[in-house]
Amino acid sequence: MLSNNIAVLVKINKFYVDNREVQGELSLLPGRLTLLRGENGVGKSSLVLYLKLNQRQVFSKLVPRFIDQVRLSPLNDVSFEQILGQLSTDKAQDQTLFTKWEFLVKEFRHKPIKSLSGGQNQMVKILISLYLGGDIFIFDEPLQYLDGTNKSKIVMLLEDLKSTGKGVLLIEHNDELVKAIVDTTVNLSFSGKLEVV
Amino acid sequence: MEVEIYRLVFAFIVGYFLTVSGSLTQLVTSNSLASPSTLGMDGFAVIFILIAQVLINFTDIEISLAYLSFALFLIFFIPLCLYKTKSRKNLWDLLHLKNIILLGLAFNLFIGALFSIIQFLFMAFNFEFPTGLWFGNFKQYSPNSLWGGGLIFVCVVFAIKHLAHKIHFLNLGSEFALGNNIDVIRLQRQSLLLSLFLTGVTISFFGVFSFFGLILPHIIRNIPLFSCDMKKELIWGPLLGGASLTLTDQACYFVNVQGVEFPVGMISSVLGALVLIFLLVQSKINRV
Repeated sequence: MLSNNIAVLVKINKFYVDNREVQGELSLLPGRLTLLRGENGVGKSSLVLYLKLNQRQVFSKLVPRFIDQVRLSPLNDVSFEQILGQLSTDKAQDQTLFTKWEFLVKEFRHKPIKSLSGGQNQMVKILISLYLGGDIFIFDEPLQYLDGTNKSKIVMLLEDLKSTGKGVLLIEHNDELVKAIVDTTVNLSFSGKLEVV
Repeated sequence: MEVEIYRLVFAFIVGYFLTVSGSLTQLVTSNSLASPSTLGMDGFAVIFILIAQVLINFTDIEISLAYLSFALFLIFFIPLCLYKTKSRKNLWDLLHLKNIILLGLAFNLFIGALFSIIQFLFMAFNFEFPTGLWFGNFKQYSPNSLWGGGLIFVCVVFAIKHLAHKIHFLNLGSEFALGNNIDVIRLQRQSLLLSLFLTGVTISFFGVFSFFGLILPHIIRNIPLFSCDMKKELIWGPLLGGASLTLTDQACYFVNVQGVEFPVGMISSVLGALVLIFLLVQSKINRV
């Protein structure tokens, strides 16, 4: 089902951050982790939004999963377990990674999402994306809200994603924490250029 | 006095429609205070009743007010369905921010202002004012239109079945849904148009039922039987809305003051407002 030989070259034709034009190329390869770096306000999250809004053109047949910064905020009291229950009609993908990391949400899988803390909410988001599966995972600051132990667990999870042949794009400011797993670093500058460092 | 079966059925269908449109607007804008009335959909539909009344007064059209206003509503509604904006980014900014409530309220204020001008003109020209439709009621109905109502009902259930899975994602957050390959803009558009249509049908034929579409979704969300499952909340939950409007309508039918029947829309507005205050005090509603 998943081809391990497909490389995606994400070409950013043109998008704007505060009227500044951003252009360039990003290559996301299977089993490789690309770190996107840049100062605050340079347009990293806007780039993620651009990718989300244009996912059909950018990724064509590959399935991207986005784990962004915004918290899950359902109107009802739905819990993690109930969310999965409603997704179970989908053709489930390879669940090995999900079962391996499911323990992260063990304590609160029956609690309403809206009562969870920021870090718990973050882990629920990551776990749902693992459950749904995909070819390319795009994480926008996945370590935010997390405590020390969970931060290192999520870094291990990212490594696992890499080793199962998924392409990973990561936006993260904690360079030290993720240093070991990064394959390519791409810098986004205020002039609007994407450059491989 | 006897129970009129048609009246029961119409009240039930209208209650169902209003609850569905309330639920849809709240879920797709992730805002617990969104409803057809707060988003100005009510006002949009009422305008066509007024235009229809003006047309009937000025010309000799042999057509009932309800059908004429519905036809006028459709003339504006269909282009709205076909219109597609080119800038998806702008639309995204508009819909995913909670701006939409402010936009709806602004639109509502505009309609209110327009409304008073029209009211003034009606008085100036000495026209008959369609007061019967201010507050929704089921005193007048034509059994023939039951077919239309039934057909729309079936279509709505199918449409919701189709949308429920996507709305489940959207309920978790619009950013999250967009990241999971849901065309959020299209889904919001479809859902808002569906609820506008249902509001239009209801208001053209039976008048305004304020607060109904705002309150019922909250009540349903607090009942364990329907909550936490989008299909149950959107398909089975509104049955409760239908039932409660039917009961309120029957209460109005049997309990009248000096032989005059209260319009059910008036009573449901009062009840709805009280329940809203109660729910807010009990913190049963996620604050915006």
